[in-house]
Amino acid sequence: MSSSRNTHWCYRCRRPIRLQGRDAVCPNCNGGFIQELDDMVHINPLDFFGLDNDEGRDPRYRMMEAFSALMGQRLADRSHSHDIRGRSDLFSEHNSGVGPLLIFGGQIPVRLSRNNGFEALFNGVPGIGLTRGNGGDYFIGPGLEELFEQLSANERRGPPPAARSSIDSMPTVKISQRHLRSDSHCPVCKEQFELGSEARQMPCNHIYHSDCIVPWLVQHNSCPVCRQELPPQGSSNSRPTAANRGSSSNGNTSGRESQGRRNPLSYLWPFRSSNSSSRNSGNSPSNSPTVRENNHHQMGYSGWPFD
Amino acid sequence: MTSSSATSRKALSKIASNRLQKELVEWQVNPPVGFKHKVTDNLQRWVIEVNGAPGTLYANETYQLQVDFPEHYPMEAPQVIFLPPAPLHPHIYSNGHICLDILYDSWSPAMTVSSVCISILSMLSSSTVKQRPEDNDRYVKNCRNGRSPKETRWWFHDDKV
Repeated sequence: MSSSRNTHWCYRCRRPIRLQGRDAVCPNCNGGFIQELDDMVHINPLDFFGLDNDEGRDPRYRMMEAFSALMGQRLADRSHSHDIRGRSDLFSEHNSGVGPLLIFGGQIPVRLSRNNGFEALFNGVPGIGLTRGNGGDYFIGPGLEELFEQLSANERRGPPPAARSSIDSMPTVKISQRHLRSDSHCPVCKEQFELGSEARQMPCNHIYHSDCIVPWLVQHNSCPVCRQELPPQGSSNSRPTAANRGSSSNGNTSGRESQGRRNPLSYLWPFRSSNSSSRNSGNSPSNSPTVRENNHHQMGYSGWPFD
Repeated sequence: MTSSSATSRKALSKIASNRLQKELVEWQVNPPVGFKHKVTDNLQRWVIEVNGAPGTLYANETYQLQVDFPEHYPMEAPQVIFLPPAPLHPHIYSNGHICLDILYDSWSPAMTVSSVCISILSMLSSSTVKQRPEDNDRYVKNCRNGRSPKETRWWFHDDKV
């Protein structure tokens, strides 16, 4: 490489650039979405992908490599046999916790890849990308929802979290004789309430120790006893997911949707698709739910014991 | 007996351990009908004997449930499977995995081992046919390597059987 080589990559122009002056902006588009090239390539990822090395520092490959590391790490965490394999051992230095998400538009640079099994996600059409905090991890592709679903499959299940403001405004009550007659035990820890101690009361009047109910609500907005949700506080922070979940009569919603089970991260998704069943690529959603993926299992039994 | 879910489990948190001790005491005082806890010194894994309810397809049959508790029980559901041989049932896979919503998406921390057991017995009792789930072979094949049923994206829509 010559000494006058480019120093940065502009994500908007999608080409290498050289900074002029001290401003960290692209001289072509004036955009600030750039990254230092030296930052981006630690090893030669072309060897890794078995591609021709004609553009040694092309960060496009860096993205895939980082993505593969991300996926590899997450999947390794989940320790089971997916087809997607990454080389997280090579790139673990990038995987420093999840930072804020930054979402940007992009073009799929190349079709991935013989052995790495990403074809399902990278199918060569324009897509959406995502980077985490330090710019280390990327995803590009039309399957971001699928990605979220995979990454979160083992983390967030069941109802979505309650808003912090809703939790905070849940009233605190003092345990009286009247409480002890009807709800003598906290339904979560099964300890007896103490007369005169404090408890939190859900809108359905079920009461819990604060330390018992709050950790649940930050994960799932659902009363442990009757499943009633906390109402959103104020109008601005009510997520549509919570508001829409009751209206299952819409004939167009998929079975998944009408049962209130949805992609748990879908509220992060800024580009609401009209049909949430985009994961059923190819199969038009039908009225009668069928098994849609290998690891979706259609049959089941509802065992809610508190009705 | 089974591949004891390859992942090494984290020890129970203090909260989980307290809650389980309470449940154990409650179980001893008031065990759910048709179940027998096989006592071990392992609070984190319970093995429970299930007797099929009289007058059902599973009458006079005995099965074993294995219940593994996560670190943050009851904020997370326990992992519940049948030890082999698993009962023949449209929602029970031959590897012992049980397709039952409360074990996964519909778990609530107000539930207990005892209430889970009753739900499972009720699921068995309401069965009208002894057969495996339609997708049994494919699913079981996908679960090699001791994958936990909690990693399956279950798709519940049939609450009749």
